[in-house]
Amino acid sequence: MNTNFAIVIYRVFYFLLHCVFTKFETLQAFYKSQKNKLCHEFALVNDKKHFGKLGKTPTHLTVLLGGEEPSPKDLANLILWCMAAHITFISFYDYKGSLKKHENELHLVVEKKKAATDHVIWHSHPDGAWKNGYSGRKIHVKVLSENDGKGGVVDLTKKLARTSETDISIESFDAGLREQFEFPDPELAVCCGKTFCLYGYPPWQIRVTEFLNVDSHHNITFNHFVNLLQIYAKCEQRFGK
Amino acid sequence: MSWIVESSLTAFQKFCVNVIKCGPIPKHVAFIMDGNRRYATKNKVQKAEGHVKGFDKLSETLQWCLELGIVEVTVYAFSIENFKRSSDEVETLMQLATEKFRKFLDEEDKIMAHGVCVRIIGNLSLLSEELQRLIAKVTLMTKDNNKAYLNVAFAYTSRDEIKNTVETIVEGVRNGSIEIDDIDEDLVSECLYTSGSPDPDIIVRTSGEMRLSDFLLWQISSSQICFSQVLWPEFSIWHLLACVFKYQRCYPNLKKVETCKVNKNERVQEFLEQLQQQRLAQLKSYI
Repeated sequence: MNTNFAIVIYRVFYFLLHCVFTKFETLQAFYKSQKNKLCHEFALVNDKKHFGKLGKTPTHLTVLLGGEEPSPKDLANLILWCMAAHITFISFYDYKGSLKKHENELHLVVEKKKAATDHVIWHSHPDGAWKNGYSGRKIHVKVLSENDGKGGVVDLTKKLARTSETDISIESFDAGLREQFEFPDPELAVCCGKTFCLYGYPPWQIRVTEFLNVDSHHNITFNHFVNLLQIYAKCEQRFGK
Repeated sequence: MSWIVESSLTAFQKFCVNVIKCGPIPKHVAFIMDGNRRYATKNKVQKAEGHVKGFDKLSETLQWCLELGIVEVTVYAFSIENFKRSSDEVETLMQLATEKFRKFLDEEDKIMAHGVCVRIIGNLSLLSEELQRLIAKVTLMTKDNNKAYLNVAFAYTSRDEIKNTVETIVEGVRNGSIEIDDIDEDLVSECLYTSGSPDPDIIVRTSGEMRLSDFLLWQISSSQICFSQVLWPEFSIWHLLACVFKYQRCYPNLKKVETCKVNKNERVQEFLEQLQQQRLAQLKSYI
C-alpha cells in the first residue's frame, strides 16, 4: 500500500515538473518573438563593423535544420551573412530531404537579395560547380540530406570492395569521402530546434566540429548570427593534447 | 576507490530520481569525461590527482545510472589522439588504467554478483602487452554478464573504428564471405567495435566543450546531445538528472529519427558470427 502511494506521489511530481517546464518554454518563446519584432533586420550588412573583431571564423559553417521545415527567407539571410563574414562554405542538412526538393525556391530568394557582384556557387549538381575567376565576394552552398550521411561511408566501402585496393588508411578514406562531400570538414555546426541531435549527419566529417544549438532558424536575427560566430571564435581546440 | 560503490544519494536526491523514473529512461548513455586536468589546475593539485578524481567520479556515476535504470554506459577514457600528450602524462594514465583493471580483477566476486559486463572498445594493438592482457582478462571474465554494461573506449577514435570496420568488410567481400550488395548501414554498425550495443540515447560531454572529439560519431546519429558546463570531477546527480530530463522533453522527436533495422540474410549472419569469434580469439591470444 505504502509503495503504491509513493508511486502516485512520484507520478504527480513528474507530471507537475513537465507541465511547469512547458509553461516556462511557452513564455520564453513569446518573450523572444516580441523581442525579435522590435529589431528589424537587414540582409545586407556592413562586414567590417561586425566581423572585424572576430579572432577566427569557420571556413565551413553547416546548419542542421533538425525537425524544422526549411524557411527560404532565413536560409538566404544566412548565406548572405556568411558571405559578409568571409565564410567560404555553407551547407544545410535537412534529413527529411524537403530542402533538396525545393532548392529552387532558395535560389530565387538568394538571387533577389544578393548584390550583383556577389557570387553564390551552388553545389547541387555534380557537374560544373567549381569555376574559378570570379571577382567580388563568393560563397559555396551545398544542400545535404540523409543519403549524404552514413550512406557516403557505405558507398565508398562498396567502391573499395570492387577495386583491388588493399591498403586503406584514415587519410585515403578521408580523401575518398571528400570526393563526395566536396567541402572541407565543418568547423562550426548550428543545430536548429529544441531537440539537440545530429539526425544522421555525415559522421566522418564532424570529428572536431563545434556544435551550437539554436531554438529555431525561423526568423533568426543578424545579431544572433554574429553572437554564434563570437562563441565559435572563443572556442579553443587542443586536438587531444 | 573501487569500481562498485554504495549509493551516495541523499533522501531528497533519491526522491527526485524516483520522480524522473516515471518518464522514459535512456537505456544507454555515453560520456566524454572532460575536465580532469582543468579541475587539477583549479584546485592546485597534480594532474594525476585530477585523473584519479575523474575515475572516482566514474564509479559514482555508474551507481547513479543503475539507480536511474540506465543499464548501459560508454565512456571515453583515452583517445588515440591523447598519445600526443607529454610522455609523463601518457605514462601516468596508462599506469592508472593498469591499476584500475587490476583492481577490477581483484573485485571479481562483487562484479560478478552485480552482473556487470565490461567491454573495452578501441585499437588494442596500440597498447602495452600488460594492458592487453588485463583488458582481455576483464572482457572474457565478464562477457556473459547481462545486468549492466560498461563500455570503456580506450585507445579509441571513431575514424579509426570506421576505418577498421571498412577493412573488415572489404576483406569479407574479397574472401567471398559476403557480397557487395550485402554492404549497408546495418552491416557497418554490426562490424564496429560496439556491435553488441544499442546506440546511445544520450551523449554527455562535460567541461563546456562543444565538440564530439572523434567519439562514437557513427553511433550517436540519433542521440540527444548534452553539453554540460561542469568539469567531470564535479559532475553531480543533478547534472545527470538534467540530461535525462532534456531527453524526456525531446523523447517523441528522437524516436522519429531512429531507424529500424531490417533482417539480415544467412550469409551476413554467418559473417558476423565469424567476426565475433575472431575477436574473441584475438582477446584470448593476449592472455
